[in-house]
Amino acid sequence: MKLVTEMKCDEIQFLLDDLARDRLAEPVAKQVRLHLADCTDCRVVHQRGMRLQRLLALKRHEQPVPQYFDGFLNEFHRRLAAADAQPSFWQKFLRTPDMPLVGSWRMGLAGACGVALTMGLLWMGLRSSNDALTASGDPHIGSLVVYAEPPPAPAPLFTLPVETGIASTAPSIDTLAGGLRLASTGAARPEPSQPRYVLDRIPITPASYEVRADF
Amino acid sequence: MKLLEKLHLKKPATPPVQSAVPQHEEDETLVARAQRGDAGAYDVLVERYKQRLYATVYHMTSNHEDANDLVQETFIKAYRSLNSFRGNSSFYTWIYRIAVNRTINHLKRRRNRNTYSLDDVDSGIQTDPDFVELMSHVTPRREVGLNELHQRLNEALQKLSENHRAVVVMHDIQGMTHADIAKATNTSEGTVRSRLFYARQQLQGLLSDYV
Repeated sequence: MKLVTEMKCDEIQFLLDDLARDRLAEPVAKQVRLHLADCTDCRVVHQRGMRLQRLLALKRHEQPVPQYFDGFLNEFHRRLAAADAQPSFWQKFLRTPDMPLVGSWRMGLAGACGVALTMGLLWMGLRSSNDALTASGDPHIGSLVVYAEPPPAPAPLFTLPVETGIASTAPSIDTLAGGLRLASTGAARPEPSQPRYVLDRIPITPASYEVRADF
Repeated sequence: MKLLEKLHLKKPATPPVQSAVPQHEEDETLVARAQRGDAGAYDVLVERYKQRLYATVYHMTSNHEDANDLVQETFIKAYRSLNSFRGNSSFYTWIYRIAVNRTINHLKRRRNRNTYSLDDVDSGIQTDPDFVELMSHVTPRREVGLNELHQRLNEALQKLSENHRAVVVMHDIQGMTHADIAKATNTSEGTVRSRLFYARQQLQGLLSDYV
């Protein structure tokens, strides 16, 4: 627990309301009072705060005229009945005055939208399940499956020679600015290769020249 | 706020809002009857809480007509939502929260068009010790007129933000505890304390003639 004597003035001032309403534990209240006795700033803040609270408390005397609440309940019932008589949002949406068919037309439109949405969802579901079967490589699925080979890992392009002067063993020498000579490792620098596509299998069905009657 | 928790604050001396209602059990019974369709039971609840709700809403709006409308709307809203009331809090806490939220939303909507239609000040203020003390310390530079004082108080309150104003009204005018205000505004007690602290600082500047 932080001692009150260690608190700063703004922390003490935060407790003044509790002190005024006797809500502080007694040891803490005693310490706050001691601080107030020593600290002029906090004492002034405390006194001004007390005066402000007394001033605000005077507002309790503001009252409506004595007869004000006499008709309150009747007014409540009148407003409640008026509020109940008002149509709800959906009633307003589905009901348009002087156009009796509009309501049914809107219902029909809403139904059509619902059917279209359901069909769309079904179609998307069938399509995604078909894609999943194709990717699984099922031999009964007679579609073309294409795989892409990953490109080979790139070999290091340059390495520093272990000793100077052996650059002559390298098939090529690159000279950089500053006279630094770097030798290649001897391995041919691979050309970046394009991914190769392998035709895995093609469903082959024997050609038939017989006349078929498919309807 | 952790600091405050470590200070071992006393339990609230003032009773919480729901226990201030004299017959709390009857509230539950009335609500149950109203939920079964007994409109008369709900009328009793309206009669019971209309003045307390009006007072809070009025002090937040400083407008008699707005307060009337908002309290009526609160009771209508609560009546229509009565079946969703599960009794996790008291009926008064529940309806009070509806009223405060509606009032704050209303104040945000009409932020730039403040109109005052103040209620009368009752005669009891003349014997209020706070008022007597205030009159005895009238500064020579300022003559305190009663109506002018209330006008200034309302104007100062209207300059606070909606959330700060709500906290000041509930705490300093209605006398609610931090815990009850936190329930009503659906915030933490730390937030309530913080809002109260900064709202008072602002009010002291606005009412420097009186404090």
